[in-house]
Amino acid sequence: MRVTAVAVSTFREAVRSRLFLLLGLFAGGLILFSKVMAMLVVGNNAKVVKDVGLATMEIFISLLAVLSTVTLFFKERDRKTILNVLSKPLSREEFLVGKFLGLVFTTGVALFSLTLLFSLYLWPQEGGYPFYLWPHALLLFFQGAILTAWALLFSALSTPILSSLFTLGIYLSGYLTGTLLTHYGAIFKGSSRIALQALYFLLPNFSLLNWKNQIVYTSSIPTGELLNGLFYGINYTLAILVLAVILYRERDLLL
Amino acid sequence: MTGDVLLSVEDLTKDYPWGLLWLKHKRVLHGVSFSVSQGEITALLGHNGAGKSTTFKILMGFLRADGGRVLYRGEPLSRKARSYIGFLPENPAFYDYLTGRELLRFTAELFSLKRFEGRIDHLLRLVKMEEAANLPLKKYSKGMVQRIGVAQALVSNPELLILDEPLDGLDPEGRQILRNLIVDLKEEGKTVLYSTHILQDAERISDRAVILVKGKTVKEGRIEDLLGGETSEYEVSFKGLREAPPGAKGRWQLRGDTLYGILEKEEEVQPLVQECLRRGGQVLSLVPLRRTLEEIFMELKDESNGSRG
Ligand SMILES: Nc1ncnc2c1ncn2[C@@H]1O[C@H](COP(=O)(O)OP(=O)(O)O)[C@@H](O)[C@H]1O
Ligand SMILES: [Mg+2]
Repeated sequence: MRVTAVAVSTFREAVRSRLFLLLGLFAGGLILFSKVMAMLVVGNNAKVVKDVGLATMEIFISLLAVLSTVTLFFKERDRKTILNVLSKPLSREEFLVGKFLGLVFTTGVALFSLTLLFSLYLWPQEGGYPFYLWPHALLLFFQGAILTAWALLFSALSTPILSSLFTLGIYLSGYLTGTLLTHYGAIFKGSSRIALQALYFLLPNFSLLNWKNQIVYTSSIPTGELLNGLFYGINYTLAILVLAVILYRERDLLL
Repeated sequence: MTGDVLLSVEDLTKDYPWGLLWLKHKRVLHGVSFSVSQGEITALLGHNGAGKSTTFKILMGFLRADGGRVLYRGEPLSRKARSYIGFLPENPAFYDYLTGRELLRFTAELFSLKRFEGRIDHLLRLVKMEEAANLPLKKYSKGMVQRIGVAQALVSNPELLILDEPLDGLDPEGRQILRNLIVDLKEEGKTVLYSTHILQDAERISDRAVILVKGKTVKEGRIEDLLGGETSEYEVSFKGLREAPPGAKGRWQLRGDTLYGILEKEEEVQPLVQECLRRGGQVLSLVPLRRTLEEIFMELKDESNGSRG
């Protein structure tokens, strides 16, 4: 399969990168270090360890998704390896989808390892294996997939720095949209409300995918919310990917 | 069939966007037209910036032409037709953590080929890369990259090969190997379209040449025709004569003890040589002088400068 060939080569390239190693070491280190940090603060030690670990997972996966996508795509253009790949009977859509799958697989592997590490780390302190981390990781995985799709879209159309900035903007707004509508929705009336709602649809809503705050206290995501999050994550990711493909398809490859 | 037109490029134009928000446009192709016949080697000749790579990028679908069209066997060039074309980009770069053999496998997968190991072995032999096949590409010299690049362009057994500056940046030996390879490919029945700014190479191995100056085709034809039969001259040199026989045509010059003459007509050669021999001269050499592509190129460039300036 052509898409698989692109995905596999993307994965190979992504896991070999310095970025991957660096982020991985950093995240692993932070998790292992969280107990030391917990000792330094006054209060609920167990909660601090969990907080640090969960925050690390999220930041790691978001950074990895954005940065590895942007850098890989641009390496491909910069070194012109893309010319060789696209001169084969491989459509632009197959190329983008292959890149996407390879990158998402990379973040998946990273997230899996990190979750495993964190769960083993928490095990003694929790007095039982923290299974509840896995559904959380699954939803986080989709947050990564959404960011990857956005980063690909921007990378296909603009420069690396702009792409990183735009995707970072999407990332931040992904936390604001939900809050904005639920807490301040009432302030907006008429057309401004419609505009807000449109924005709400266009921008990702990470509050559906990130249950970090609940997990710290109640330890599990309700099944309904989990399914809802999965449904949202899959559909939103696909929508952005389709948009990226449409925009990239007819574009001149100006190297 | 050999000699049939395989690819015809008609009046391509292309603007590149530039400036703030890419709102301005710069025209780089002003009408590129040529055709490529089956079984032949066609050279696309032009200085740096003439538009050779841009033309190839349009052929490969990386860029969209703003005007003109490209026909493959008489039909507009489609993505399906592109699968009969093998392409080697200018200064090619491949994933450098792959080995030569892995690159060819990866390429075969992009073509959805099945059972390709035999073909890969054949190609590695063809480009003389069997020994380095299991080394990662980052250890390859420029010439080796170029050769494995030709091999990857051949993986799907295409009818037409498009090579962008395949001889550029190689040492004399590397150039020799690659020139021979291109000729071998023709013998295998492939059609080759390649670009170069090195005229001697074009003259040596091409059947046809297309000369591009500033984004426009200014001349196209068979190499022999471009070099022109009627402008050929003959240089003869003699020992034992101090001057030309009386009434001899042409231009003459004595250098040291050798007499050189340049004759413009083929039919003048035979009588002249006989006359000189009769006078006790000794023929040292007889060389037909042909125009070089270099000369044609310089003339064309001056013309196009003149018409613009
Ligand atoms: N991506 C680009 N954006 C703007 N101008 C370009 C771009 N690529 C090439 N050009 C310009 O187009 C002209 C033709 O370039 P090119 O096709 O690469 O020539 P060649 O391959 O014959 O050296 C040159 O003047 C070059 O500067
Ligand atoms: Mg070029």
